[in-house]
Amino acid sequence: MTGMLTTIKEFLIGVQSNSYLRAVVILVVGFLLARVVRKHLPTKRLHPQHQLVLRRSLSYIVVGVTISWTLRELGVSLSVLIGAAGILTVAVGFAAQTSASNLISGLFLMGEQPFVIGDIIKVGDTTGYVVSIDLLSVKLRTFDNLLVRIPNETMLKSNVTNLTHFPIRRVDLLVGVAYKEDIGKVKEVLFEVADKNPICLEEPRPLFIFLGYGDSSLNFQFSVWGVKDKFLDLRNAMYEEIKRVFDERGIEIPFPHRTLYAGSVTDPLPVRLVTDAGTDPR
Amino acid sequence: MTGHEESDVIIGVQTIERPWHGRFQLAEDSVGRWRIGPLSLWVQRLRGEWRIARETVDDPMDGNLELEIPADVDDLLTKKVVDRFGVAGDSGDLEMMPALADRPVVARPAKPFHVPQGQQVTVFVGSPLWVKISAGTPPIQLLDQPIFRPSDTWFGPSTMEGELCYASRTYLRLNLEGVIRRPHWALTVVKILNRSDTQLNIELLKLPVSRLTLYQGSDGQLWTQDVAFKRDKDGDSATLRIQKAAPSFAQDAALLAEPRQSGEENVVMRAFSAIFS
Repeated sequence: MTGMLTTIKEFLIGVQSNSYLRAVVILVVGFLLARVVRKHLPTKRLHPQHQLVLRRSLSYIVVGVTISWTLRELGVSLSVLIGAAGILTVAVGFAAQTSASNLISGLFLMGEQPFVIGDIIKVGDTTGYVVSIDLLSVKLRTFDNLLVRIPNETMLKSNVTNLTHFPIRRVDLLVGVAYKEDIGKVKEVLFEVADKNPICLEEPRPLFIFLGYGDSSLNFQFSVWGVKDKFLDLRNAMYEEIKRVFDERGIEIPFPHRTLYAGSVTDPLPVRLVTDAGTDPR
Repeated sequence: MTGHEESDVIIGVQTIERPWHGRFQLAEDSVGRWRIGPLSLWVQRLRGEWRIARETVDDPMDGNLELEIPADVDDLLTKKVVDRFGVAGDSGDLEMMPALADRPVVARPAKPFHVPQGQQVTVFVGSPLWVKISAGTPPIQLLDQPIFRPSDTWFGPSTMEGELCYASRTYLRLNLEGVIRRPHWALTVVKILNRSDTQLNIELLKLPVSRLTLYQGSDGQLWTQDVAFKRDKDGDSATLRIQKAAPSFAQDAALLAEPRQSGEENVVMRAFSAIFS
């Protein structure tokens, strides 16, 4: 019993045990500090994107310093470790090519900053708010509240459209009217609708483009400008108001028409008159 | 309220003989009705609560002005947009105050307007007004609402950079007689001096109304301080100076409302494109 106590005492007060204790303390304090930096660093004045980058960078530095200090306390030579790490990197590199590629792509994305947290972006068929930009992936929240994880490598290789980078956006409205309508009058009515809508910007002026003679209608593009946050409000309000004013002014929005032609060499199509009662008057 | 004394009495139905703004008293359960151009407001005082109903007509040029205290409670109940505000205390004090817009206002001349080199001109610009409703003692702001919501507009060299502003529905006018006066517009006297060697072509003019003080003339017309723009000799920069004195064209001007953005410099040197377009 006495021998066992002596052994424990020696372990606690001995040189070797002091190193172990210090290593444990450094490790615990270091990781706690990294956690505090990641969660509670006062960065409220910065943009959310910059907050994220700053917090992560600082916490990685703290973790790195903690691990190397701990290893030094344990008597592990860092130079040997770095040499071993070189060989290990080659091995891991082959095994984790995708992760490494995503990691490097993530660094490029953070440097280039084509979008920041809170932006609405479109990647392929996915459109959503940027929730986070991590080292391996970008996470989007779609409008129907789904979380989509897109690997950074994909982000770097794909066309990414940032819908909220500039403060104002153009809304392209497609309008078709019947062939009998006066194009000048239609144009006048469209500009009047735009003028009366307070969220439709006066400058830049709306754009009226005649797209051509369609199968059943004269087709136009009417483009108006609005603040990016009110894009959907503006689009809905304009379509709603255009339909209301067209109805009010008797401007017809046609549905697809089909004219049956029997041809000059054929007999005319037979027509039968039917009375209200549904009987043949003949 | 500053520089504008009103008696705190309950007044009867009247065609408006006093300004629509100022201090009013509402008895419990009673309603006050204001018609300020295109905007109609009903304010009801209940125990521990104020209710405000509003309605806007489509015509921004509507110049009707009506004030009715007490008004019919049924009118308020039929309105779709009614806001309710819970308050402590049972004060019947009500303050209706005009205010200028919270963003700059952009005005345009009716026809292309040019100021040759070395010339100075004075133009008049109308700006849309907001109404601020406060209740209780001390007054607590309940609503800050445009009398007629002006259209948004973009003012800047491109769609990538610039500033979101309101479009003034009035044109720049060269003489005061030509200015259409409405109870929901404030007038600003703008002096433009072109000191450059080239002609100044004005398509749009941005007025920083959120930094201007509101005054009332003895005839009831609302004015802001005068503003002076000077295009400098180099032609690329312009100086904007907000005059400290009361508006020069207003008779016996009384201070009505402080600027929304205070404490900024009265003289600002800007790129020419940040003021004119």
